[in-house]
Amino acid sequence: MKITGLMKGLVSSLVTKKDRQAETAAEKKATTSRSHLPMDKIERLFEKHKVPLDNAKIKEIETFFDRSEGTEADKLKTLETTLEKGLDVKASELNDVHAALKEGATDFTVLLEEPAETAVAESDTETWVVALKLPEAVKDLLLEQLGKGIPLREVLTSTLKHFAKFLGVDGAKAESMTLGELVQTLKNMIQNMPVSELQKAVKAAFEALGVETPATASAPEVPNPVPAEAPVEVSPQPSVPANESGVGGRVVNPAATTEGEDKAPLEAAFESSDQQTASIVATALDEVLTRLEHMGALLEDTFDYKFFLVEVTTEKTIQAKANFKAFQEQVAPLLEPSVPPQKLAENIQTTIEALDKVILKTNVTLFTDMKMERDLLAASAELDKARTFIQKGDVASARALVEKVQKTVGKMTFEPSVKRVQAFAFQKGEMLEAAFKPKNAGPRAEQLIARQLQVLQGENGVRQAKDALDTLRFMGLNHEVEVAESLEGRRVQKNQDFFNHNVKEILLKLMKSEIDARQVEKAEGQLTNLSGQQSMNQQESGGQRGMHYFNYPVALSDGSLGEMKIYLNGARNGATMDYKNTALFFGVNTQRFGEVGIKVKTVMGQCDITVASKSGAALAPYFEPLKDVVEAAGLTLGTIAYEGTGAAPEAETKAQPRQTEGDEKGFDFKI
Amino acid sequence: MKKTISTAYERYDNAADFNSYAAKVIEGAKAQKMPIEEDENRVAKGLKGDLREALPAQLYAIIGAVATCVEQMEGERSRKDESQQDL
Repeated sequence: MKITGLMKGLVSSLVTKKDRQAETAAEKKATTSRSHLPMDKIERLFEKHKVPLDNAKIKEIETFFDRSEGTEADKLKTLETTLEKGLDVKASELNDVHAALKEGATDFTVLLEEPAETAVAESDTETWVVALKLPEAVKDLLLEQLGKGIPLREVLTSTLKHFAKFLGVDGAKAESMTLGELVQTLKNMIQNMPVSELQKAVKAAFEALGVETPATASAPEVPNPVPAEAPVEVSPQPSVPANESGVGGRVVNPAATTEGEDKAPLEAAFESSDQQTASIVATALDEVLTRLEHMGALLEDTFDYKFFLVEVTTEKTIQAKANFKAFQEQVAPLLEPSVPPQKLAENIQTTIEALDKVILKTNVTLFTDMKMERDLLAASAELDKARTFIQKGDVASARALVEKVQKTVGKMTFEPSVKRVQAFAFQKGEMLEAAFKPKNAGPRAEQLIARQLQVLQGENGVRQAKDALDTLRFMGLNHEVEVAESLEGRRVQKNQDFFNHNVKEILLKLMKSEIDARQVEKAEGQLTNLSGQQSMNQQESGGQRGMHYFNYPVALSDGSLGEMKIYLNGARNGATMDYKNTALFFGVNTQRFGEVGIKVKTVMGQCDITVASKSGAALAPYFEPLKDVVEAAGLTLGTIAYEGTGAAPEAETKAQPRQTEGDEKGFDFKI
Repeated sequence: MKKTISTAYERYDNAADFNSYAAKVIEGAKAQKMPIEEDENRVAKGLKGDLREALPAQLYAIIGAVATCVEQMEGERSRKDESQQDL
């Protein structure tokens, strides 16, 4: 039995049950000339979803059936899903959805070359440039171009290659150099050239760029590199926390400045009461820098990686703290309980949205442990209850709850988790390595994703809400929205704090590079899989119900990656799913317990969980933490049942009969 | 209260004309050398689904928790295998 059997409920019960018994007879009764299509089943699917079936659609379906791989049942499942989601019945759309739904849709073996030019997050670019051990004049020029909005990848590649050529590097050779090679070559040449010759070359290089020769360029000096064994002073560093436009204030490398210069802004950012944050960052970085000691050999003396890591980690931690403080200041007046009921209801809604935003859209929960997230989820649940009280006319109870939340949120403090800060800093360190590595040394997709999964987890491997969202974003399922935001200059949400490129964009780059036909085919297949998932994650504009679908990567016991299929349907609350009336289905092929299906169904806030596997109740200990999360989300835990596939169902509390109502589409837990 | 997925969604929700916006996004991304699909339909559907707003934090919390449970199941095997190797 394939894992996709767990998702076979996507095909209507008409198809999965009745037609299994009389399949051949039904096919013979096809009413159109497309005798090879199971027309009666197709017609019933269209009738069920109240979508008119015409010849144009039949032609598209025929094209899809002819060109796609898989069984008839698989293709009907794809058609059913397409209709359920309300997508256009076109061969291309069906093909995309089909690629996402199939078993093992995600090919983790596709090779990915991590492009050096994108290995630096946009928000880190200024710090990155300052940490380069190049003459100040060259760095000033780089910073000037960055200030004009020119992307880092262009600034670095074009400027450094330009200077390399004027300093005597062969043009073709300069074009083929990596970033690390360029920096090293420039540094060596500057150190070894006679001063007069160097001045002449640098002057010519600046003139060719159409800019005046900076005064410092007349006597270029290479900053003294920070000795590898130099102690790292974490707090305070000479930096300014990033503002909302994305790039922080001017960063000054301590190795190139006089002591004390430009330190005041960061010191101001660290309040006197913030020594705990500084201490946590210092503790976290101490271990990270030890683990990254080999970076010294890799980068030699071209880049001050310690300075870079301290700067970006400190900056992002301060920023997260500032974001949380801003959230508290925003919601404090909204949670004033004495306002009229209608205003109170509006304020509650705004606060719930602000809570969602602080959890999912800021970097607050990236640096904090699960307690912070659970406290925020609990506050959201309390406000939801308060809203219900208002709807029932019990304003006093609503006010009491709102007041309670106001106090709770007001008392919350931002405390970064050492584990999370370490993960952040280590990730940045690995990005540096990627940037300076020779070309064609990029990791496989599997390594890249596994590395990211290591980062997106808290203490004891717990994955929080933000981790789950960012895993999907890392796969590239939000790529277009974030590209559009970037183009519109909306960089408020700091999309690249924990990763600066996603799998989709690397695949797109891969498609344009010189790779063999087999790799092109693999990359195309993965893009189709991602596109299919995006089809099923578009926000519906009409109707009261919604559905979503994901292929979610999980780490397996042998270090490889598995694909967990997630199907979600239920009621919508505006454009967002209503978590109190939603069913989630998970299907994953584990190495230890084989195929496991998990259903988390919530109706009117009561959540029932079913876990189906060959092991039955033996899996119970592993799902204990799920109960806590369900309750933290403000849901009432009902039953939790463990069904043994192939054996009699076992239940921890009260076993539920298998649900077959319409919203589950006959989801089949039998493996 | 209707949520929006981006300024694009606000702007094009009524006209349902994501494709024209998609074309602009493709053009802008190319100019900035940002990787993007060239198929307007695919880009349009990507623009219609901002995952940060499609699901509330509670559902992502459940997804994250289930992923944790599955990985704990797998992780225990790893630890057991490692301890057996140590022996």
